[in-house]
Amino acid sequence: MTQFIFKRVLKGILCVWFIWTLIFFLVRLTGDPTDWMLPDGATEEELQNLRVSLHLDEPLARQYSDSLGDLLRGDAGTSYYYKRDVAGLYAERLGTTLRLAIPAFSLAIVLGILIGTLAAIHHDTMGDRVAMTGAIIGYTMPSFCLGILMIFVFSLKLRWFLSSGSETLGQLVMPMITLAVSPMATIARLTRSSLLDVMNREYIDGARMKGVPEWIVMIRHALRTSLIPVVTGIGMQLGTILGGAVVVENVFTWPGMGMLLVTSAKQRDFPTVQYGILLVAISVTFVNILIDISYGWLDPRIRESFK
Amino acid sequence: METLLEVKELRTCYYTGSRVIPAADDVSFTLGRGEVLGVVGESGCGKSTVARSLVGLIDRTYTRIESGQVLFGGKDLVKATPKELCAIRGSRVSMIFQDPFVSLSPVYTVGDQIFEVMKAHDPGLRRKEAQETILELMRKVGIPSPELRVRDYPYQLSGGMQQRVMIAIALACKPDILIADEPTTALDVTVQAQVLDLLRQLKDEYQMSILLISHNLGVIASICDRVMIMYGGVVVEEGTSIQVFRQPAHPYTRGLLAAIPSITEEKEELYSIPGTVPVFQFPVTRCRFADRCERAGERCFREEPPLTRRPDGRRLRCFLAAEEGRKDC
Ligand SMILES: Nc1ncnc2c1ncn2[C@@H]1O[C@H](COP(=O)(O)OP(=O)(O)OP(=O)(O)O)[C@@H](O)[C@H]1O
Ligand SMILES: [Mg+2]
Repeated sequence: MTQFIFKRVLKGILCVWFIWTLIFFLVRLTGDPTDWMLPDGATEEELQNLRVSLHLDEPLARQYSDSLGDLLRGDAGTSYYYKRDVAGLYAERLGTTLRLAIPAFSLAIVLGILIGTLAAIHHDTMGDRVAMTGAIIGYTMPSFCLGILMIFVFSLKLRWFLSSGSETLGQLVMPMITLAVSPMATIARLTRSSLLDVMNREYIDGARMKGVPEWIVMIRHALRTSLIPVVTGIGMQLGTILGGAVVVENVFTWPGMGMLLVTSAKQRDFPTVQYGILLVAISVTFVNILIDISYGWLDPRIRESFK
Repeated sequence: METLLEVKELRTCYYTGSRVIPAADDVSFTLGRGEVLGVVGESGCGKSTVARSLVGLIDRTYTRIESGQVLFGGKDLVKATPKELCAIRGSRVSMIFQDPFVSLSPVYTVGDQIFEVMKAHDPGLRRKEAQETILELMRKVGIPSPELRVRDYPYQLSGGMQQRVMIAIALACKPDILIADEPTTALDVTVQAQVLDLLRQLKDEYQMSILLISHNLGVIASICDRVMIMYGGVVVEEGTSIQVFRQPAHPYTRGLLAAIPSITEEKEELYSIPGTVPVFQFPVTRCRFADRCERAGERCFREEPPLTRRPDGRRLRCFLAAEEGRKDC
């Protein structure tokens, strides 16, 4: 088991390093950040000085090795725009983003599994069809569309919620739902199909034949085994949530890490973009490791293979 | 013999698309205490449907018990509530299935799965207190070193051991009736014999009745007091093992017996009944076996013969054999 975790962590580190490298070169393809950093009419000499002070004049390979070295030493760099260390910038906004992402993700998981389970138990009924049609719509609709639609209906027409800001609970409702809908739909569909598959297995009838009440059979036997593929799906949805948060924060002007990332990308604020992507990569990798470990708990055959 | 279970004119239908399939139709039989009743028929004859209908183990979205009664312990199980069924399943009526590997949950240990049925009928029971009983039960069904096996998962056991675990689960609450739906079909031949021996021995020890489903006539002959032959959802012949095996009356029963390979007779080619079991649609207005019957007359295609009792006590669903019977007796 320890060996398994060790291997998994090593793979995770390699993966994160690869993503960081990719983004390092990709942002540098977008152009020169010094364009906007000095007022109009700055001389070529002033621009050059700025480039030198930011080490942007050096060869790419050199910039890369320096940045990587700094990063490993714990220095993520200084934002070109805010003139502050980027780690601090993100740390300040972490709470704001989590205040949106955690409720949204929890909502997606709980409601997704609940809807999927109910749909599977009442499969091929009207309720099942309605729920699954809804899930397909929720899953295909891009979050910015849904966000704008919600702002239109609930802010402009009904005037129930403010369309921007992050101060009150009311302001959380719309961005949270917008962010949760797509992963919720995916989790619901996954739970339904996985549970339907398990419900047709003979051992479900075996459990029923013991005289165990139907709802316990569903939870203890059907749901638990069917959760194995669902857990993988949930892990992949974390990526969707993080990516979605970037969009949703911008639609609802929610001042979190996603908004910082998008603004920085627009401003070619290289260190800020790189660090933002690094954080996303690390969290997704970390969650995936947790998921792999949780398989062992759900399925003894996999636990065996860890040894 | 005291009658434990009485099934009266049971009809269970599957609804698929626009079709209504009477997979069990006008099925009546009784099961006495300590008796072993065999149910025989080709694949698709409705044996499992009957067994599952008895305890309501059917998917009610597509399956309905249309009519009939299942009288057990003074109650009609067809009308029983889910709660009443739960109280009976596993404690008074147990079932073991064809393939033990898929009938046991892959994610719980053998011990926990045996405990589950005990706990279901004795909510106050603790796992630790039950440990000794569980080990004793495992010993009884012939699982060697139960102290070790109790912590195993089903995939760590052989097929024969898995079926023994199923039997342990079925017997944990000392049921009155054990329904065994092809309990040996998925096992090796040598293991089959061991499991049958075990059932025979436990039957006496627990004083229980067994409804044994199989398409293996050898299995049936070796253990059953009475045999019921099913075809296309209906009972075509029913009598004591001796009656049915020595003097089969229904053309279908005769066909089944002729299809058994025999060691004593040298046969060029093994007989097999031509054709396969068709799927019928409700309502059926002809003898279901007529298409494959060599002796079928015009009447057999017009009218469904009723299940009638002959003077020797056996029951038969055939126009032709019924007349012959009258001459015989
Ligand atoms: N869930 C179902 N939906 C529709 N038809 C079904 C269903 N289950 C069984 N049937 C049909 O009902 C008939 C009887 O099936 P059943 O499983 O009771 O037969 P069986 O005698 O147990 O066969 P086997 O020996 O293969 O187990 C078959 O024609 C089968 O096709
Ligand atoms: Mg069957």
